[in-house]
Amino acid sequence: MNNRSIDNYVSDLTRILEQTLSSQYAEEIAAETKNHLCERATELRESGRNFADAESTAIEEFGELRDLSIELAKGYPPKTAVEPRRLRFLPEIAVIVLLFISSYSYTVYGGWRGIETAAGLLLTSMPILMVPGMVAGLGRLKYRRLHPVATLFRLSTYGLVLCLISAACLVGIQVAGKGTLVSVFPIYYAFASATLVMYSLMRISFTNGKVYSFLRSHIGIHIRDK
Amino acid sequence: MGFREDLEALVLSCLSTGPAHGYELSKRIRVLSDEVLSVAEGKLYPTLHSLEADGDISAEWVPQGNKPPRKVYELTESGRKTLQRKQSEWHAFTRGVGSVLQNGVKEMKVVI
Repeated sequence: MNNRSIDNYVSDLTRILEQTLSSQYAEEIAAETKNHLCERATELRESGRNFADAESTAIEEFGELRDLSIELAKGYPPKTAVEPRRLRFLPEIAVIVLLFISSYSYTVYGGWRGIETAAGLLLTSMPILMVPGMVAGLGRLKYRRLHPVATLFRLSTYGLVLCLISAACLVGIQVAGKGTLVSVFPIYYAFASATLVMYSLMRISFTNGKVYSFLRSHIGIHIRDK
Repeated sequence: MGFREDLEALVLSCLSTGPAHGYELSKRIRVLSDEVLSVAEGKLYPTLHSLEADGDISAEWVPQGNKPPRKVYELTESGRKTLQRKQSEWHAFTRGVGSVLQNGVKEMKVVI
């Protein structure tokens, strides 16, 4: 008979899981396992078993740790894919690079023409900044609570803000009569609209799966990462 | 239909009667199957996570006073549709097997 307590069993499970999963997921699985074991042990105690016997039986029924940890870890992203540090400053770096390129174009051309170029560059780049956030939001439900998703979400928010600023710049240039942009407005605003649509899709996909499920069943959106 | 898919159907079906946490679900499967089926925890939880990832069920950590919070699963609208599809697949499968077995018996009687 297994003489380990539930606490020991769960802490061993967490340690094994942390070898392959992020701490957050390992702790989540461990918490669920502990709940299960405690429920079972309580039930066994109510049927007349003593405390130690009930815990041992619950653990024994649950299964051998090594094999079980492999099964329980299935369906979760491996640790290497969710290392938060890797992506931590990605949004800020992306925005700095974009601003650098835009300000470089301003320096090269000078005056209003430079602003036009910079604003146009920012505007057309924004949908590209939105893509990672949207893909993460819509397609990978189970990665939602991980830091990389929060990072990509931040990236998209920067994308939206810069897009709105650059769109306003273009309108300003046109209204001030400092440039003739009428012929290119449709293209610029098509980009701006695409950005807004993508951002909205990403936001609604961050509703704990409810809107995602709705879209999937009613409109046929079905992105799987398997 | 593989075992994994069968288990998904069982889980979805059990959740159609109301939200439940993992342990309660394993009990529901046992009770609803008249103690015929018992699901290994090593299979149940990965299945729950897979269904959650697919959007067929949603999960929420529910506080329980001074006890640690419990993860409670609930069937989503998409899950209900998946369940209906799995039920029809299962009925078609059992009809097919039943038909083969019954016709097999008739043929054997004719031969005898």
